[in-house]
Amino acid sequence: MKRIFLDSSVLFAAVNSPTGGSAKLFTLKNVTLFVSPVVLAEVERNCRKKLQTYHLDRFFYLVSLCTNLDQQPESLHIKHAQKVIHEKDAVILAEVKQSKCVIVASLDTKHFFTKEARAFLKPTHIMTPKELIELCEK
Amino acid sequence: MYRVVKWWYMTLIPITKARGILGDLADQVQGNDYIILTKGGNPKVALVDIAYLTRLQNDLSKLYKKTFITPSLLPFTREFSDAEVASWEENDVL
Repeated sequence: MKRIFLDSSVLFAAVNSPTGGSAKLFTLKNVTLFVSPVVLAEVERNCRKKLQTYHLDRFFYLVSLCTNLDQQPESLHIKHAQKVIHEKDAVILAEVKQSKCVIVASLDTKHFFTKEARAFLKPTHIMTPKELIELCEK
Repeated sequence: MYRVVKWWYMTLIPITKARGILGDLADQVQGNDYIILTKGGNPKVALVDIAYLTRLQNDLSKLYKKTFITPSLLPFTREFSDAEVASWEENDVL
């Protein structure tokens, strides 16, 4: 079983589009999807603000398929993360580090797929949902 | 004479005029059709089908009682910009 951490971009995209790679992650076998309380709060906040009511139902449904990590944001981890990534993404990067998942799925290729962020997260790998699906279907 | 304004699925009627015909008005409200009673020209109360109101309340409570948003986590969250949501959609295509 691969432990996969979903960042906010992936969970939001899965809620928003049922045909994208993020939504397909929820159909994969031999993977366990993890989300943290911060990711849940952030995605829910944006679903309520940006999407339709039925998206919120879908959000709760998708969350029911994930394992919720029992972790709270830690300022020390966030401070370390701020050194390698844009400040707005530091909280999520710190969350991933804390989760100890094998893989983190993200769509934010601009900020998360950098050498610095990869080095910070080691041994956790950063992948897009598409890459992850290809890996699981091999 | 008073003016009854019908707009889409709702009817506007002054409270003073509704008093005498409340029974008839209650018979008119059905499903999504409701009647707004006005006071001084402004909407004041509504006559709503009780089944519709109950359904609405149940749907809303279902929707809002579940939440992962807590005041302690809110400062750690942010609002996504339209540009980043668009770029995620692009990267999410299979």
